[in-house]
Amino acid sequence: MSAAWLRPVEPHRRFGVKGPRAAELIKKLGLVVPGQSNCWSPLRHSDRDDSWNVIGRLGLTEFFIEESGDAPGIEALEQLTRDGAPGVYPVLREDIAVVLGGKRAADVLVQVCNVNFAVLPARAVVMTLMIGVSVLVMPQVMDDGPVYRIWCDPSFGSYLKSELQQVVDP
Amino acid sequence: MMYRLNPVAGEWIDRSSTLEFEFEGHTFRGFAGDTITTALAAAGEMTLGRSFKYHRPRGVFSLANHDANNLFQVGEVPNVRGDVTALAAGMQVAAVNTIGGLKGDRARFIEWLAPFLPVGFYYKAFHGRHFPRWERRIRAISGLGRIHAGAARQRTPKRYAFCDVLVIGAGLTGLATALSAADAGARVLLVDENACAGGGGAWTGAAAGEIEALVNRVSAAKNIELLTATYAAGVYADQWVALVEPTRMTKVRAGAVVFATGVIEQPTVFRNNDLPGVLLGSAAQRLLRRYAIAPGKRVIVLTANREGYELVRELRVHDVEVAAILDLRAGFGGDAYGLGDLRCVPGVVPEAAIAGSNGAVRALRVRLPGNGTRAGSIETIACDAVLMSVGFAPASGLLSQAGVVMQYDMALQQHLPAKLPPGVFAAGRVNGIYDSAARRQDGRDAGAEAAAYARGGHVGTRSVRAESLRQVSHPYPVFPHPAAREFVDLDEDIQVKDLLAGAQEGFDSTELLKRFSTLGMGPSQGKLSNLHGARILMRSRDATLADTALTTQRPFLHPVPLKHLAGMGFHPHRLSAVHDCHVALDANFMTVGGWQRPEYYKTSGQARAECIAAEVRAVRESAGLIDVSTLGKIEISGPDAGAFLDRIYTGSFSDLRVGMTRYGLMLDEGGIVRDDGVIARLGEQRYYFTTTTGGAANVYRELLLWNARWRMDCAFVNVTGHRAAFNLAGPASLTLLRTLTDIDVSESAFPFLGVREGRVAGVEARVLRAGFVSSLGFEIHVAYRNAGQVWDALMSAGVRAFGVEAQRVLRLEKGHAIVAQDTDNLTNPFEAGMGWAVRMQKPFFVGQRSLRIHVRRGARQKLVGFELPPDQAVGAAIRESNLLIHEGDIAGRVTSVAHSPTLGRTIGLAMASPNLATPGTTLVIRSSDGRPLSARVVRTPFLEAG
Repeated sequence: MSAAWLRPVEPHRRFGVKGPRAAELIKKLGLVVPGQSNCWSPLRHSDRDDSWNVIGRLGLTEFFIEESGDAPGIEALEQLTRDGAPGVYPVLREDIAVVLGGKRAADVLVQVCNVNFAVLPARAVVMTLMIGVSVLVMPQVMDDGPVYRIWCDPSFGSYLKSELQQVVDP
Repeated sequence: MMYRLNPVAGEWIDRSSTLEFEFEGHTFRGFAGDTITTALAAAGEMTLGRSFKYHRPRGVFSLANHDANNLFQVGEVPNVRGDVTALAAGMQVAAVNTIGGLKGDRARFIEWLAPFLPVGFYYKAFHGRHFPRWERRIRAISGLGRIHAGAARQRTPKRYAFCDVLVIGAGLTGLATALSAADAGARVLLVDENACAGGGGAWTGAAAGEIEALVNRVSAAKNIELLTATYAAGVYADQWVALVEPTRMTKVRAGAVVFATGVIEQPTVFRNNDLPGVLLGSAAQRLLRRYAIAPGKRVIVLTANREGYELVRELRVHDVEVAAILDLRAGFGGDAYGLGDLRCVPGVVPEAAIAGSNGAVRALRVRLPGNGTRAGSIETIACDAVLMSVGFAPASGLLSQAGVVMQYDMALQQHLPAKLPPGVFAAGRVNGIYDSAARRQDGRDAGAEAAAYARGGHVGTRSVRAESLRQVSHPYPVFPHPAAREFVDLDEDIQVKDLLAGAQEGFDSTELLKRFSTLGMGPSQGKLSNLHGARILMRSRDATLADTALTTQRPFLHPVPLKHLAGMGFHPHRLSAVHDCHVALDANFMTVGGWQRPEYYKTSGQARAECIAAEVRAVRESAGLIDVSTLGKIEISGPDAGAFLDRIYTGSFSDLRVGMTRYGLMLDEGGIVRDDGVIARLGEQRYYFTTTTGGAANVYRELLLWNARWRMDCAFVNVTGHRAAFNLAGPASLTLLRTLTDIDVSESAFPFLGVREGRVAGVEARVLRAGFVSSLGFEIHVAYRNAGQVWDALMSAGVRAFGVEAQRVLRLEKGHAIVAQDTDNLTNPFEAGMGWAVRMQKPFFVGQRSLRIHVRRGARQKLVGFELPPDQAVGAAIRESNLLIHEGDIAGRVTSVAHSPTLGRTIGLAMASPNLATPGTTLVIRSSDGRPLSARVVRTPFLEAG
């Protein structure tokens, strides 16, 4: 495992839903609804903890989903919300995504973000600022160790990636 | 190395590594571990710098990061603190603040002018017609190091750190504190400003080898991190502390903070106490113990406490001759300290230090104790160093920043922490505890309590045991001299007479006197002078220090290098989804609201103005395409969406037909224009609207805040960065779009201000029929990932791209104002000519009540269109913000101005006095070069068709 590394995550699909009945709709599709706010979970009960398919609960009634491949879960949600389902609102998520990992990953994070990731509960979702940009961060344990999955508004993508890379490779 | 001693146990230098460097053009050598100052001191260099005001020679004084006269220019870096900066091979070092070098400094004549430079000189001289003359002269000769404007930018990392207990100061007390907190299970961060841990423990009572043993235990503890060469620069709310390390700044969030910051030795104030060779006793201890350097060959110890006699013992260990121990206190002698074989004189009054031919001290003149009513005789004692050990001030700057109230204890003659906020602890000498056993225990107690606090447990109110305290500070070690030059503040050359004069002129509080005299405003921030300054002031008022507070201590404790504050220089910027397309079209970029936007597209052989004019012509004559992805884009859905927008915007939107758009104007509660955009109704409960570029985040936050209050049934999604948008404008736009979309864009099916959802260039799109820059135009909004496909399809259809500058001209021709350019923080919609967008008859909208007041009061300004005569030179020197002048007074300002290639003349908008707003009125605009230019008020739009 190298000191620290930063990798793009493409071309997974991303989607969001919010509203008082969003959790109900997600559950109806057989997807997992994280029980607590600001927590994430594998998208399906059959998915492992190191799955790329995840769902994050942002606050109480908003959800963020990333799914690889044909993304059938997202496809179904998009169709159901396209014409407006009562109490459920689709959220266009065109985020760019990167994964930060390696032994020095935590050291990189403390240079760019003021959240103490070391004391977060398992499967925490953090919405915070990273070098001035709003980001969504999910710490996760993958095959090659602990990693931090990071998403942000695509218009900041070029900036975030290049500046993070400079901190990763000083 | 003339003053270097044989190896000393625990020394910080590595004698196996010799470093060569240059100082003032001469080659010197030091050891690894030396600072610049100690390497020079070891070589016998007595004079290391010149004082700020009088250019007097100065040498080592505190060796504790407070020596403002030991600042050096090192290569391109100015004002390097020599007393703490590690020596490096090849350093090019020079004294700062000299003209012609340190030894031959030609500016030393300034001292002869001292009678003409009284205290408060700046305030007395820097006003009226004399100000420019004085300013020029003083600027020419003052200043410290030289800034090299071309020096390379240094990106200095910052980081955040977290711990349960932060211990500041790794001396005897701090080490005990850290171990105690760690034993209690806390994660501890221990920091010390010195290169090695231990502080002054070695000469303030620690047993032989004790410090080393404690440091070893700290290093071995898994839950203690030790940072040396790191100082706490500032303490902020909720235990945030800024730590400055040599190569980075760390912002620490601690559960609890223990300040084991110790004390700062204070000088004796007597004539010529600033000569090189006159230094603090603790500085001598540092030279001896850390760097194995003798402070002199024949020294005098001027003392008023036990620490002075401990210093004498140490000097004798190293065979340094002690010419005399002079005690300021009557009745104290060497016998009491087992030094009866030395000459010890109690009750001495220092008269003056006497300079030798090299500018350094060669003797001390003192008045010996008298006999009853007879004054004592004067004696001159030869020496090459005077070591002062007469008292201490607590290093309480950080404590004060943490909200601790310090109170002067008359019995101890020291300020002590009187009240500590929760989570803040103090331990050791800063508490007035000087005996080593008591300090250890105080540290252990503080560590345990801090750990308990950090875990959310016990919140103790610590009280210092009275039996641990002893007086080590002389109450008034200040000895004025008729011929002055008794320096209270060596940073700013402030003498006793200056402070007395200031007090006499009415600046009779510590805060006022500081500002009038500049006491404590130099690089050491008064650490060696504030206490004595306050003593002198209070004595002049027949009061004591218990009757006043010292000046406020603010961050930073020490000056922090600017590169540390600048950090990595992160500047977030946004790129649109088709940024690469703009690059390929050779766009010239500008920053707008954090976005990189094409200002215009360069064409080979054409100047900027020509490129912009060509883009304008393309839109007017055919079709142009501009990337407007930067517009804020927000969706609002739910049963109350329309009613919510009615409250937020000045217009009415609950009655907007599905498939239509309407202009929206947003005010703040003061009735001032804040934002605008287009609101589109996509469905019964579904709206989509735009905001100004750069306004999206604020608008979105406002929406959430308002709905937190109103609790209406609707949801918001900010899709600004997730959707791209392009404006296809011009007479040919409809024809072009028709070939790329499945939407019926005919006039009957898609009227002006309509909105449709369909496919453009094969992807899902929202299309708004808009008229911001031309009578016919379409805004095409698509998902970020599809933007490139749509842009390429439109460009392939023969459209010309245009940039922000052309857009500004085009919208100006149409008479459209831009919020925040043509309006400001005082503009209401009626003044900006936007009254048509306000429905005052609505039951409520944000800002309505204030707007009624504005209406009753009448407009104070009006946004008007103006034009220059056609024969006026193109680009006549009128710029935005140029003033309108009417009858000699300012009557407004230009808010927008441009040359219209379509109309062939210069047009603009101006915020003018209402009496100048009538069409046909002549405006006088003061141009950028000061000339008055005439313009005529005209109706807008300037261009109806097109």
